[in-house]
Amino acid sequence: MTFPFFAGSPIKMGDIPPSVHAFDDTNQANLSNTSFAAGSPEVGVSFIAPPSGYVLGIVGGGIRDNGGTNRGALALEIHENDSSGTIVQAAEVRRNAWTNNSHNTSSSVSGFGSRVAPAPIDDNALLTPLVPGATYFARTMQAVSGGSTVDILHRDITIVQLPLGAATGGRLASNLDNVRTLGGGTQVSTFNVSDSHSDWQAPDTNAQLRFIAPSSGRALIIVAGGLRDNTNNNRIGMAPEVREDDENGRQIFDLNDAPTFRKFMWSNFGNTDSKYMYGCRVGWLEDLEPGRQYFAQTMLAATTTTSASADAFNQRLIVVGVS
Amino acid sequence: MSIQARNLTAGQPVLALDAMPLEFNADPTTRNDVDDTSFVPWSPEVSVTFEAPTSGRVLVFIGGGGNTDSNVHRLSMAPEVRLRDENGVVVQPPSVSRNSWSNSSNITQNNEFGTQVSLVEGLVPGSPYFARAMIAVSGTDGTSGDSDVDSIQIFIVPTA
Repeated sequence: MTFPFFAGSPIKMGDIPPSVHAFDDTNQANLSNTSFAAGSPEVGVSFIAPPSGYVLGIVGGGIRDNGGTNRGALALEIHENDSSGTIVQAAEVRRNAWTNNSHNTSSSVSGFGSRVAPAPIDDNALLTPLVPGATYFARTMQAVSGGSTVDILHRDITIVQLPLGAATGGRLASNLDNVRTLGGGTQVSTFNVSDSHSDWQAPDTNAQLRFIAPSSGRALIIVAGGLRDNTNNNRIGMAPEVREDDENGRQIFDLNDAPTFRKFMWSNFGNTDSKYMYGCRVGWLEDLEPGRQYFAQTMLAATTTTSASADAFNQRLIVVGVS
Repeated sequence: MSIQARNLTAGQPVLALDAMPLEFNADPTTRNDVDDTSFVPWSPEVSVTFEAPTSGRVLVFIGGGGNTDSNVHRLSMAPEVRLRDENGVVVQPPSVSRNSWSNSSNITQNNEFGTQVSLVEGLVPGSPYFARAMIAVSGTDGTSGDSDVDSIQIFIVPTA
């Protein structure tokens, strides 16, 4: 099968392989390696290259600076076949890494976020595509810029097949294969959290949407927006809550059940910011019931000290069905 | 020929525009001391052109890195989407709060890297669009060293 799909061409078994995800919450303590290493345990996934030959590589996690002005990085690496195969996408800070702020000298909390990059790429263009149907192995790689150490408290990796969609080969297309991507947001609302919001709460104004689960049962849930710490060590986090059916339905995960929130949270770094910092976290949903409606909304929580506060601005939420 | 926007449902033939290819562009260079407080195009231009898919919806990704040399300013990178080319009508302006990635305004010694995702809807299927990376800082301290930018990426992924 070549890409793009031409009108009238049949979709065959293996044309659209599943997207895959892995995560690990083992603390990677006191990292000092300045060259990229996989860490232990390795956080990796095997996948089959799609007909386009391109995937989205998403790495995310939480990094805590233990002092100094060093930066930690979580990056994407892809090998042919398995971890001993030829590297077809190297870990590279500029190309495919998510990093923390390098000035958390007094911070006791970690900052969470994601980096999304297509693969394979070089510094300024797409490279020769992966071989459709061939097996590849992707994993997170971690490094420190130098100086003191960092801790990495959560690492995740997601490989999303392009083109986006939930169809899989070998069966008739269904009307749930390409469910509509939905986005929602509040454009102007500023929400100030204080020590009464150390638990996850739905602010009075937030981003909400309802979506239909695709036939794959898998979707990306992206939270984005601006976050600002008004006093040091006061991290504010934004994460999605997802319920079956509607706002009164059963939660499919509980953010207050640590460390679940680490899989979904976008946060600042727990150091004083004069301006909102903007970015996103890409979370992974699986085992959704195809065709069922789900409700999602943004939630906020802060790690606070007495009389401290932090702000969130312009919360956004996007849900994308994937294969 | 006009192409109608649609959501794919069972039994419909698949059109080539139902899944347009990924479009990607990036610039690996670093530029120091950016001091534009309104969004300006990144130079050299980092842009992509694409045909809107039948859904009329695309995900727009902006990524890269930057740092702040003073302790109060923030570097922002955001996409601008226009019809056809750089002279076309703006359909999605760059906006700090709606579609930008930014660093923390806390002073940094190393560039901070990340991504921002936004969903652009209501595009006309089959029509050509142009997207480019824009850059701005929240302010300057008027001395040497303001914000530094490293390796901007922009890419467009069609979505249902």
